[in-house]
Amino acid sequence: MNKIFINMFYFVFYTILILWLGKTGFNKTKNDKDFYVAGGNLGLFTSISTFGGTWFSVVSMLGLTGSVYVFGYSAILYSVIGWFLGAFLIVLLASKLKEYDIKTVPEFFRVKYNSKYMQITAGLIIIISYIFYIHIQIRGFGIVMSSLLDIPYTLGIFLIYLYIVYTTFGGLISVARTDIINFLLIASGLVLSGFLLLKMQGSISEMNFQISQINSEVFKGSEFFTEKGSLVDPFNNGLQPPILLISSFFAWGLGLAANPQYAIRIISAKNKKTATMMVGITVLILLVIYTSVVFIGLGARVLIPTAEGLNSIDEIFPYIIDNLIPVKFSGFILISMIAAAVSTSNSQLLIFSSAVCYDIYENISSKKINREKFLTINRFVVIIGGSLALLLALYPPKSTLIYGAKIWAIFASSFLVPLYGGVFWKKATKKGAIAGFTGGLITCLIFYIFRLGYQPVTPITSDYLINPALPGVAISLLFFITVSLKTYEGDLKGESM
Amino acid sequence: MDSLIWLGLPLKTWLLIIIPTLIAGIIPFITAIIINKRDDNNE
Repeated sequence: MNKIFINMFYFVFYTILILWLGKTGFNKTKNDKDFYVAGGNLGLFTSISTFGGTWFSVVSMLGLTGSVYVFGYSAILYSVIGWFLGAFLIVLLASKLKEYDIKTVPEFFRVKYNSKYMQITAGLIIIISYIFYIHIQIRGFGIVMSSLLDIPYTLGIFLIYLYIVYTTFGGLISVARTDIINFLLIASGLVLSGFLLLKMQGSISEMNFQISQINSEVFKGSEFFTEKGSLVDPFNNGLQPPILLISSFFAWGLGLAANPQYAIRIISAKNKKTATMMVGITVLILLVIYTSVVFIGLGARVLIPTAEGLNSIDEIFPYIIDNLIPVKFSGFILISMIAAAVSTSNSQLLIFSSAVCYDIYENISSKKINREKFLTINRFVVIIGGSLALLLALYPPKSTLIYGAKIWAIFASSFLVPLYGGVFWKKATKKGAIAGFTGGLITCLIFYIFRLGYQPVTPITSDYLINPALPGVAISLLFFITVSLKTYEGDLKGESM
Repeated sequence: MDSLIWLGLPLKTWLLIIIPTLIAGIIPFITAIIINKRDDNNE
């Protein structure tokens, strides 16, 4: 049967499922609490699906698979371990954050520290960071669509409107419902791909032996060569040195721990037990999924040591599907990639909308806003946000994994310390929080603006040897503790007067 | 090249990547169980 026809069948099937599941949110969303956090009433199964669906983005799917293909096992050290340690921090946060009656993470800063400045600034950070992050999801979507339906990349990225805007319109109820099918597709698509690739190798030992022998160019004409043994070396024979890996943890691990798209799932879970178990169980499922990702990336490298006609790491997975996966499965696996892009970007677009409307507009507006009209404004902002990300996706970055780490670094440097410090440390003060939040953010931005610690890692990727998250978090922590300790006594006196 | 110990991987890859990944993947679940058990006991 014609490959495009089979892919079209899967595509239509996925579209119908999303349309059906997504419409629930339209009827059930009555107010902004429903829109942002599904009324704070999600059960364990739905919470796991939406947490996992949001977690497993196009960065994980395209970026990590491609990175494993290029860098071997060191790509795991560079990303997955940090993500899982970040999840551990989220479990700790879940046990405390659930005690606050809030609808957004920036609202926590206002409630805890009585600081509108922090809520508004945090909202601004979300707006800028998420627009850039959504655009890499759209890029992933575009790459997959052009491969799935044999259409131009630009047309592919325009089709994302069908999904992202539609599912976000129904608020978190729609997002969470569609995430059930999205996460199921992501997990089954990747486990199936991993199984097929591993089967082609014979055994794990055989695959590892074969990749340890690879000594070839990565992309034809790239002049970037893989040395023999480097794919099984934890530091890729020095290409990914320990300092790069350690500082990346600060961006990925701590950025994940402070990222509102995960913290908001704590707020939307129906109770503390659901919130903590949601994280723990999802990470166990992700462990299986990431194992499959490793089999895909390494198995493909054994079968195709040098990829032809590719320009970036993100194009590797669709290339693998096109060249190695049997046609009867390829359409299914490609829609699982679309599911990864949609499930993350609709969550981010929803948080983008809450940042614009709830954290900023409502804080600076002196007028009382009609709640029905407020929901309409939120939906309008969803369209604006999606359009901006779409425009940016016309000029995408070369590697989503490295680009994603840059955005996460901003959250690690600004949100992390005041969020966790506010929840766990009794001596945390408003002035300390503002100092930590602002100091960390400025430090991170200085590293970006002046490109401190930036260097080309390989002919196909460039990265920060010292990720800006490392100095950002260090300064944030230093300012937060020093200023809090200096102002704590004064705050206590102020409260008792 | 380093000697391979199990499944065709060198010892340092097991020590620095495979084992830490497995431990990091299990820790959130165990922590969640401990927190919930502690909360149940406090109620």
